[in-house]
Amino acid sequence: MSRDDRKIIREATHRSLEQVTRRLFFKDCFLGMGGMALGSLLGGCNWLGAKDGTTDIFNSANPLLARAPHFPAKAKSVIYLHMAGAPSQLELFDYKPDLMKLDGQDCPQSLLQGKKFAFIRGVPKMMGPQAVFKQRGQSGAWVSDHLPHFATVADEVSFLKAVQTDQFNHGPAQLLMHTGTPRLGRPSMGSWVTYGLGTENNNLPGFVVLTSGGKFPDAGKSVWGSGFLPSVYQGVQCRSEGDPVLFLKDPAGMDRDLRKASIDAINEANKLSYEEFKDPEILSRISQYEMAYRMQISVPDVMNINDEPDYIHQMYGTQPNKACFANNVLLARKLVEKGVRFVQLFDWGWDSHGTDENLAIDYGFINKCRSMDKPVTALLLDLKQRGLLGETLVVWGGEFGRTPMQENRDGKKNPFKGRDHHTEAFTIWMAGGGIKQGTSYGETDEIGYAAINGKTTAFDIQATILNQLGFDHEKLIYPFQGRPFRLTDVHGRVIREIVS
Amino acid sequence: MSRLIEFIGPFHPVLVHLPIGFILLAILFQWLSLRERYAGLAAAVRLTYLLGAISAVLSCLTGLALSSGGDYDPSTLQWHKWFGIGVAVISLVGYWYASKPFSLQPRLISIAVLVLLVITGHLGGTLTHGEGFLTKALAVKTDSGQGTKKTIANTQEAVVYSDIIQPILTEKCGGCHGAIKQKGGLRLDAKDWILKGGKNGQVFHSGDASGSELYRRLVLDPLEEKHMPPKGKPQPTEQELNLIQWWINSGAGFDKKAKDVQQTAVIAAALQSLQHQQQAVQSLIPAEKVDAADPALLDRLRKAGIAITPVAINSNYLQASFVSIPKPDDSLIALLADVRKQLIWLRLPAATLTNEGWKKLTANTSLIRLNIEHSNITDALLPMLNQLTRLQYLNLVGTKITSTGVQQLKMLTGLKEIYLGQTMVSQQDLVALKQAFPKTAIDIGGYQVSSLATDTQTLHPPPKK
Repeated sequence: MSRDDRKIIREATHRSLEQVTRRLFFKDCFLGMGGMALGSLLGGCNWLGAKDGTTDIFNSANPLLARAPHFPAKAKSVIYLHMAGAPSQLELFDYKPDLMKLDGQDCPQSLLQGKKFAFIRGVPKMMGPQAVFKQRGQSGAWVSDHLPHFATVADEVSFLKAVQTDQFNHGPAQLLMHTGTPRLGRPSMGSWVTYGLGTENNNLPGFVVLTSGGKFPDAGKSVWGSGFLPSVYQGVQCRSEGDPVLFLKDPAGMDRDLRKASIDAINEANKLSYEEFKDPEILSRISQYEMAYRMQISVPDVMNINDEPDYIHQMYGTQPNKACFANNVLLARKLVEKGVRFVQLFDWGWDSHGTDENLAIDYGFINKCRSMDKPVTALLLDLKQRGLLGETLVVWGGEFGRTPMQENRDGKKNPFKGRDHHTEAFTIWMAGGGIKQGTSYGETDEIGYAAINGKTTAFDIQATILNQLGFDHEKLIYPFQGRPFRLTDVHGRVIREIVS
Repeated sequence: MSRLIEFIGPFHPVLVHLPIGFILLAILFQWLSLRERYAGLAAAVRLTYLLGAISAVLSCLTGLALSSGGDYDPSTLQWHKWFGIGVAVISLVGYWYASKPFSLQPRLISIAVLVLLVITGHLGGTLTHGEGFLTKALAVKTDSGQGTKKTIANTQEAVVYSDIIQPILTEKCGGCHGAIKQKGGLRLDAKDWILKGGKNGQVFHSGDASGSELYRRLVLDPLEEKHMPPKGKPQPTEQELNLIQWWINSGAGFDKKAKDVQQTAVIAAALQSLQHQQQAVQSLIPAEKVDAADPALLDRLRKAGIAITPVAINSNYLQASFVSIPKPDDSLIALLADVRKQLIWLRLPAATLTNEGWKKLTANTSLIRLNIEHSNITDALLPMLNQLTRLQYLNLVGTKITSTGVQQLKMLTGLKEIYLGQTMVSQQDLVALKQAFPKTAIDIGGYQVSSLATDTQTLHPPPKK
């Protein structure tokens, strides 16, 4: 035994002896008893929201156990397709012929006064729609030629055309969309949902995240973080290429039995420390280890798209053995089929400023549309033919919209056509999961600058998603730092207009 | 003993007024006795306090008895209980101090007991009369959800005003313009009042919605002061606004039925959805009550890997999912027998059951949704499903069944959706199936997304010269 080892052991002994000193005992008793007395006087920890038993539903022994929602729900799972970077609504769904008439003219002062843009400076030029629009299907929804496949299923979805945000930078806007605040630290929507519903499949995480487009969302992993919720509810990021989850495979020289034995030993040690400290996070950790062990078998299986038949690959337009959006969409369908509650897709590359070819509204943007159009259409049809569209809510959208003006970065003309970030109006659509088919809610003015009626916000979208899953967004709460928190904080209205 | 508790409980509302009176009186006497004119009252303080304390203790006891009966909001009850006990304890302390000079301590005690008394009393009131009972007259009635609206079986047969419009007005305007309160002199809870209008004149002009204040105020910019309902109150939905506009513009008045009034497509759809919504909510789960399943049994099912939960926190009906189990077999199905009455939604993919197993499964006659995709069910076994007469959703995707097999499901008259993708059912069978199941949405899958040349092409700008 080296000197260092002895030192470590001495420190550990010292620390554990500290746990049982007379002084510490009194200190704990004094604070503890006082606290307990006060706590019971106030009716226990549940006094804030005990009215309908909706307060803390966290069960530390089995945090992912399937649970019932507040009321019977139509949707069982959610696939959220986030087009990170924010696609232009003016080239896809929000058809504004009047904007064409203003094309190339200086933007009127009235639209610029008192407004702040991310990159536009001085007086930009207006830019008409850079796409050909047609009305589609029975519902007559406007969808541009950029999405020839999606146009055939426009009757399946409900458009929200007047979504608004107050964040014009990607990171904060994405956080607002997914966690209900533009700042870090709150749990993401998927975490709230897994906290509320647990997982349907014991061998898979309840909340899975898949990214594509070569870049993470700007807000980083916080957009699928668990914030102050127990960490077992955070999104599990899977990869569609190589190992689906990093470090999932057994290392060389360690077989599955040995792995099991080592996890058992670790859990045994963790149980001991739970008995000593009673910290529920330790139980979370134990169940995480156990789930990780089960996931070693089940995840590679469900994450493998190669055993899907050819016609499915053709339908989605997948690219075998590559990390791409189409593969992720197919995976999302597989995961939902296996009982995963919340699948979050982020596809980077929609930030069409016009600063280079890839971010040009007339080049890169169209390429992005092409890579998204087919898989998303296939997803809706595939879910439908499996009888799952009715219980799977599909949401498509970005974090904000794009300006009806052409971007002039720092007052200079950009090399390509592009649009700046825009907060006042953008389009999001939802389908399946008890959402009406072939409707549209909300309207923008004749040039698509501002929402004029049927305005909705990230909170309304969150409230609606929770509603479809059977939750009253005002009652799905978690007590933290002395007050109950919820996803929508003090906002949010269920958009009944699109709920069937 | 329990009968005694039941007996004394109801005396609580009678008794509680005694400590309120006595203790208030004791405190009043105490403070009045500071003035020379009323110094004599000091002698009465002790007795009054004693009466107050005794009646407070009795109130506590009867209160505890009453609370054991349940039906009270637990958090309010908890506060009320502890504050009430506080009143009793502190008034006893007050009694003990009453024989001593009225110095700082008894003064503080008298203030403390007064504060506790007021809070306890108010909480007690809240328990019996409901939240905000004191200020009810001042506040707008908050949105109480869909519950207040009557179910309309057939909106076309409904009377426009009384069945469709009045419920909206009652829900969204009734708080300030109803029987209890009439802001601006306006009442909107009956025909005569609506016709009469408010203190600024008439609000309803048949045939002219935009000229009627009743409608104009609703569609004003929400930031305008005159917008109704005021900011922060529940607003009518777009659909409700459309209906009100239609009601006034069409001159439907107060007696016409919807079918006798001209309707645009939007209104017809709104009326349809009104009826649709209510039906949809009803049919998601059965209306009749059911006993709760044995929790021990549910635990056993969970241990076996089945995700089984109530469909909602306050419902005894159950949903179960076998997605964690690769190939469910007979042994697991047998476990479901004891939740037969409660189980209404079942997701059972890839089941490999024997004939016996399918027989056991179809004994779950409460089922409303059944997903047995990719299972080994065959045409020969399908008739067993006829026992599931409540079935609304049936998923047979990826099974070996044929159209002939499906034709046997004649008993499933309530079936709303059936999924037959990746089976032997083909496009040619669809016509016959639609005839056999006119009310059912039949999906035979086989959807394709065509391949366009542009799908895989990448656009590039022309090279610069």
